Amino acid sequence: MIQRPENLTRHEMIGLSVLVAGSTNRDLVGISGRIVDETRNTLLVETEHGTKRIPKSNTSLTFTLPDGQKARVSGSILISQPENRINKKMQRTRWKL
Amino acid sequence: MSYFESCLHSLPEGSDSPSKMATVARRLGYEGIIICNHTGFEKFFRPDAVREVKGIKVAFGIEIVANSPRSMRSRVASARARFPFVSVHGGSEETNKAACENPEVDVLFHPEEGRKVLGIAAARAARMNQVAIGFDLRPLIRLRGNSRSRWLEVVQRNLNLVRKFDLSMTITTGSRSCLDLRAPRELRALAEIAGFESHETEEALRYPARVLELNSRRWAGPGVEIL
Repeated sequence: MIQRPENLTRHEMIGLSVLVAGSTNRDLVGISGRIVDETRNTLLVETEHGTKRIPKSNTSLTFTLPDGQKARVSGSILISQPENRINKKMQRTRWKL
Repeated sequence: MSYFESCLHSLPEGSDSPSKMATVARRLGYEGIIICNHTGFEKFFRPDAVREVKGIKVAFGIEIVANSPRSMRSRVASARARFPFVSVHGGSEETNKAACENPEVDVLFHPEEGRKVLGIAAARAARMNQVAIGFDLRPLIRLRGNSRSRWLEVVQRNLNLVRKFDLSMTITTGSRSCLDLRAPRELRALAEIAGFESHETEEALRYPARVLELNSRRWAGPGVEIL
């Protein structure tokens, strides 16, 4: 399936490049790299300075899709086991970050 | 400051043009106004003239008045793409509930008009769909005696529901003329008489600016913004 911003939150994340655009933990802001693993609450990102584990909660992430399109995602809506995320019931609001 | 007056009616529904309203609102200390007529954009009186008024943001929204929930839903769906601010004129229990259940609606104004309290189901739906409740303070100025105390009672009960479900709210004077406009300081004083806390009024006056800013961005879904 082609990745689009519309289906990003239900799609496989491993392999996408990501940038931490905002976080309550200031040390995490600016980390960028390729996602190599995902758990329910964290993403494992391969950066130039080693692999970093980034929590999904309280984080704003900017993903770059394979076609070059960029999308900013509120990390809290990604909290779910990756295999169950496809079935996750989303809120029907237009915006919530 | 970023205070916005969110539900003004200009010509042909009110008695003044949008540019006149903008000039007066700027003098009173607002950062912006939203003209919310009941009719469509094409019926606004000279919307281009507003651009000549400097130092204030003017947005054209719509306040949807509908007889049935079904017609309200279809009108909201058609208005969403054209207007940055979509509000619904409440009143009956069915309209209030249908507006709260629609995530395309930004604000539900006048939910107390049918003298019925909002209802727990509607408040819960408003929380879920991020629909704000708009309090029009005009009856506080216009009404007298029994009718005003009845209005205050309904507003107080709605306010309790808003606090319980942590809903967003906005306050307005619902002016139809530039002479009806009140300064933010006067609105705050009026709202405190009606039972609002000072931090609530502060937030309520800022809320429309936030909605306009969020609606101007492109969203692919809840929590996903296209850059």
